[in-house]
Amino acid sequence: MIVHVLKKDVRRLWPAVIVTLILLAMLAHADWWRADPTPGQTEAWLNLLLPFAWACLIALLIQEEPLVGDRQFWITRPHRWPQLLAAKLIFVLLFVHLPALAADAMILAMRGFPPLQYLPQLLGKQALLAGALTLPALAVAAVVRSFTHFVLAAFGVAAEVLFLAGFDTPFPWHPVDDVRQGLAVILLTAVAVAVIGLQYGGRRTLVSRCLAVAAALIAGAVSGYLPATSAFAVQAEVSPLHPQLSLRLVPRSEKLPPDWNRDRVMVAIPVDVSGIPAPDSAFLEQLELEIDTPAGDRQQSAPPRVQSRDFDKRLLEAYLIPWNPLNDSSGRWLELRFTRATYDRFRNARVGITARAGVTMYRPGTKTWMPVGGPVDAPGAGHCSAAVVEGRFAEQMLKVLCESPSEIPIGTRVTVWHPESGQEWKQGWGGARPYYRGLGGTWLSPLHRGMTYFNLDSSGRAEKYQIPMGALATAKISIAPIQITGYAVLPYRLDGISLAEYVVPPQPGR
Amino acid sequence: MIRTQGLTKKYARNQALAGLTLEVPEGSVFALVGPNGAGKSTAIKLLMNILQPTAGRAEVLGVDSRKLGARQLAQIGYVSENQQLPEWMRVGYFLTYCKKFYPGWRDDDLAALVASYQLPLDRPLKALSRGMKIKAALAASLAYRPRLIVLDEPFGGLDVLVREQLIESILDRTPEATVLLCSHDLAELESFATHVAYLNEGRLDFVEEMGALSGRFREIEVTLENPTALPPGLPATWLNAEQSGVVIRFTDSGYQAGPSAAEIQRCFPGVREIAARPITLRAIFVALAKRARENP
Repeated sequence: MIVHVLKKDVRRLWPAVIVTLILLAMLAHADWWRADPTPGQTEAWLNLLLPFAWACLIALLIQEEPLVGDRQFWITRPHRWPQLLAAKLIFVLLFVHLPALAADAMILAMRGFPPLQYLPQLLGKQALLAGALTLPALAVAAVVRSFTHFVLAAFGVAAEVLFLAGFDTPFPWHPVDDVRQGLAVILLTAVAVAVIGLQYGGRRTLVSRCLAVAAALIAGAVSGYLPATSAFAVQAEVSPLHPQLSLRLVPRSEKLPPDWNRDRVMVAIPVDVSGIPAPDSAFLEQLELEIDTPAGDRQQSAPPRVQSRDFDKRLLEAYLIPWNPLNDSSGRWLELRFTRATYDRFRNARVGITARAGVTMYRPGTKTWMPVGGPVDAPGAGHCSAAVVEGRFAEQMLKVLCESPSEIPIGTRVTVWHPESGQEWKQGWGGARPYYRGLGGTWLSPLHRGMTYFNLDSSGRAEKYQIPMGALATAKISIAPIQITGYAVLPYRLDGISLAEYVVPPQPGR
Repeated sequence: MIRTQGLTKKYARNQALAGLTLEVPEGSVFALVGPNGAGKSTAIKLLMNILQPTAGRAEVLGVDSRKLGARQLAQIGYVSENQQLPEWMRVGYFLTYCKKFYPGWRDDDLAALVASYQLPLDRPLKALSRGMKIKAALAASLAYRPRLIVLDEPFGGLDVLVREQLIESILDRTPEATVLLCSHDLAELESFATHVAYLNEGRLDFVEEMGALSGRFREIEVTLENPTALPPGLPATWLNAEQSGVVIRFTDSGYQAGPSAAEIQRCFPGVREIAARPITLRAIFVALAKRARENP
């Protein structure tokens, strides 16, 4: 029965299968010839078009035996639903997942990564494809009356994704994004499986539709709005490390962080975090903070990493700096940026600060050295190379890029070292990026590609942020990936703080 | 073969079927009739587990209709005028595709049906006329000699010859089968139905053997000596009484030769002549429908 239905579906849908295979071949071809993290426009469009084509293929497949309605020929014929569903799932495996897996393996092989060595990553990507695309597409196709309705529903989902993308932060925020997207995919997968079971088992269309709509809305809300503190709490829960962390006030040092914004009053409170298990270090992010006074006045900080056009409404912003202690060893600061009026409310009081910080613990990995040009295999970062390229304004830049079947940690450090002068230029992974206009998503690629840039100076001067062109001939580049070892939420309370004591004077000339 | 008990289907505020209780005997040709919107198709869809009942229950081939599965469906041949066939399939492939689902499929029966219906095996279903599509669906439903044949308005819009051919083939190919047929085209039922159930606005008005039904309905024409107004309080079984001069006509739904004549003599003084004519199934239901309209 399974083979019988499968053969019928193949006979019916082979033209649509051919279309998806052509799109996949085009995408794979573009992917295996690309070294740059930024895709060409064709590849970027294919990253949208191919999932849509796959979703349409799945919809056509399900609509061969539609589950909604009371006039279908097949529902009065002796189909056994587990066998019918099995036939559909095998079709999806054969004509969506298997070609995708083969294409991914081919891309890895062409880019110099033995596919068998990266089988877990390849299978993981297929699981993600199933959870984010094929199972939800199967579920939607099972609750709509026709292919046209499916396309309309797909546009609805695309509109929701675009709406949520409007709230996206310009830079990835892995600890939070991973939880938001992971929870959304888990929810969608679970509900998709439930809907498919309900529809094939008993054609419970009304219940299934309600479930599907609710899941789409909740998944959208989770992926767009799940508070960062909750996301860190989830990460901490599944983290192998559960250290007892604490944050305390420390004596003020002479060196203050620079004041960047004279429209705001900047307060820098020196703090220290203890409890991070050796030899790990930690990135710290201020997630939520509230200032209170004995008189009962309170002020919460604005949510972190939220793009806001109405900057004036962010009355108080809170940061723990430096984010990466490797950037700066002069200590940590709780940095509060007030609007002038907000600061005036608290300036004469001894305030309490109640806050939660997100902690990402990591261990520095092995440093790998390469000359300008490369290439080199950097453990934890994949294949890396460096080249001098021209920027948007014809300026010269040194571009360092790496590609790997595994994710390249965001905290990876890239350092250019000039042996003759002993000078170093440091850059965080993805800390500098070129101007790029257009679609840039490559979520179907089996490779994670990343890059960072160093500005070059042809005048021969050696500056902090510019590498003299002449230094490149003998310069060496080190790639130092990190290994994330765990996450935690750090709640803390500081009492009796006089903000005026910690105000950072504006920089001269500003 | 089929038994229903208080079978009910509601759509929001609309009651499509209200407490249908009936029994379809094995081997019968059971016609479910009634005007459009009476609930005939809904009843059949409930029996076939296409729809779920709001209340009540039904048993088909000894199984609760809500649990009707592949094993039972392999013994049921279902054809409906509204069925969405896989139109991309060619007729030959369609029949071959169906074959695998039925252990009792008989190639010789299929060959005979194909020849009888003159089905063009190499043409896609979408290119066929409505009549040919019904023939293809019927061929795919008779080739495994089902125990139960369920036909939901299958012959609407077909010409008389095709209709006769299809009815004949059903009776010839599956003489043992029980046939449940729903239709509002009464002419197609008259020749072969053994039982009739009349549904109106979701309710069962009556269910009866065909012979008994034909026997108790007569069109009565009474000729009087002198014109007389229709007296009040005529028997409830006299439907749609009309007067034209000295002639009174009505449909007697409880006709019995002697007692009916006596009742007429009692109600109408000066009867010169009584004529009692058998009437067609169509006329019976026209009379019932008219009465229902006038006395809702």
